[in-house]
Amino acid sequence: MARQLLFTGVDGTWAAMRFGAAVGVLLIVQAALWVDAIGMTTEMIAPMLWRVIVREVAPLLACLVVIGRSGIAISTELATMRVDGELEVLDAQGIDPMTSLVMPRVTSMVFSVFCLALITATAMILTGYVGGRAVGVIRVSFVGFVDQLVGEIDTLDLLFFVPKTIVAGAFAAAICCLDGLSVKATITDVPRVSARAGIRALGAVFIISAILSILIYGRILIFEVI
Amino acid sequence: MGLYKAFDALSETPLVLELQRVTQRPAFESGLELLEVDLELHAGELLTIQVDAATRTRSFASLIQGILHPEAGVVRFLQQDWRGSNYQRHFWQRSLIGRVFEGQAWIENLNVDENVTLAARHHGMQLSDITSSIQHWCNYFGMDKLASRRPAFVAPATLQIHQWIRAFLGNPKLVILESPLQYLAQKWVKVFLDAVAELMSRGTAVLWLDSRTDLPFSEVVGPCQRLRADQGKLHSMNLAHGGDNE
Repeated sequence: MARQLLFTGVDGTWAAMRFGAAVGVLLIVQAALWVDAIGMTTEMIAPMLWRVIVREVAPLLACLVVIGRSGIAISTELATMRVDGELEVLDAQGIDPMTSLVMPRVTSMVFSVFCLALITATAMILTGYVGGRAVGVIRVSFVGFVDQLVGEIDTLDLLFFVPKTIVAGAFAAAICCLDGLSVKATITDVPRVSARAGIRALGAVFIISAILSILIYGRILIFEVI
Repeated sequence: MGLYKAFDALSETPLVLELQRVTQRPAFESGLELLEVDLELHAGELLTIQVDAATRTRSFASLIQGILHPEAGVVRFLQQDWRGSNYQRHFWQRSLIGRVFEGQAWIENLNVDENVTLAARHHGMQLSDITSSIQHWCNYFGMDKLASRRPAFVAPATLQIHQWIRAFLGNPKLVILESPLQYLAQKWVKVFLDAVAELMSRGTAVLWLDSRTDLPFSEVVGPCQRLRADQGKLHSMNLAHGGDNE
């Protein structure tokens, strides 16, 4: 469990920060375009940044980082262990592979997605602010900017952020583990199973994200559905 | 169909392993085939099954441990079969079985010493007991300590001795030995048989699956039941038992 947390969570921090920083800049560039087009102000950009980041992009990005770095690796590892007979070795010693291999990996991935989503969100807000200042879209001080963001915090956001990271992370982890364990007894199946696990986990993350958006906010994008 | 008793003189001791009319056709052609086989193994007994050199025994050993299930018949360990969904009981029962594997025997991303102690730690064996037991068997096999490298970097012969130690840890009720002397020089035969005799004296039942015909079981371990697997049947090799026991 500790090793898995180290690999999935701690080692993934730098990648999450990189992606978060890059996407933060992209968001602010888009915001700058809107400023030019419809005359938006800083007061309007801060809530937009906050909502886009916390409600949608940060949890998704964290899931992408964890699936890309760890999910596919876990799937490959478990598939190889199955083909090599290592799971049988565990089983023969009275050690349940589900509790000794799958559960620690799922728990680590869930915890990592949550933590990396926080890190990603922080990186996006920081680079968003720096980028916004650089292109002249944001004209307030950093403290003022943070004040505006804090003012935008809604209990719905927290309600959304926690289940989105945890549920999506759990599904992605479970899919990667179970797909890895589903491999037949040939080593040539392993790459195919791993690739499939990655795609299915990504698909699940997007679908769960959409379902949670509908359930919590009652809308998809700008369209009211509930 | 006769019922094999591993060693009649000891049959008053508790029954450890029982196969009743077990049929298994392994998925792989080289696996050991069983056709309505009966078998009994009591505490403190040694039962050897000689197989062809081309026959793999892994599926048969897994069948005994309840990891694979027979097409027909019943496998009982300590009077309990492996059917049903009480997996906790199954895992607990397997924790009482030591096994020297044929083929893959290690979790590759753990060091060998971690591998050796993994099951004992998992099943709550006291660290002091693990340490003393390992020390005992290390001394027995002339080793200073367990290897602390990944299995891929350890010589096959050394790994095989570590497999022995792992199988013998924690006073198992049954030890399954699949070609336990492969990769090892002839000088190890006597050492290992002595270790098996010590294990048996503690009440452990031993099932030895091997293709070798030159092992001096009777000289070192004493009387034991010897069977030969052939075309799905087990035939007695003990002259005292009057040949085939079908």
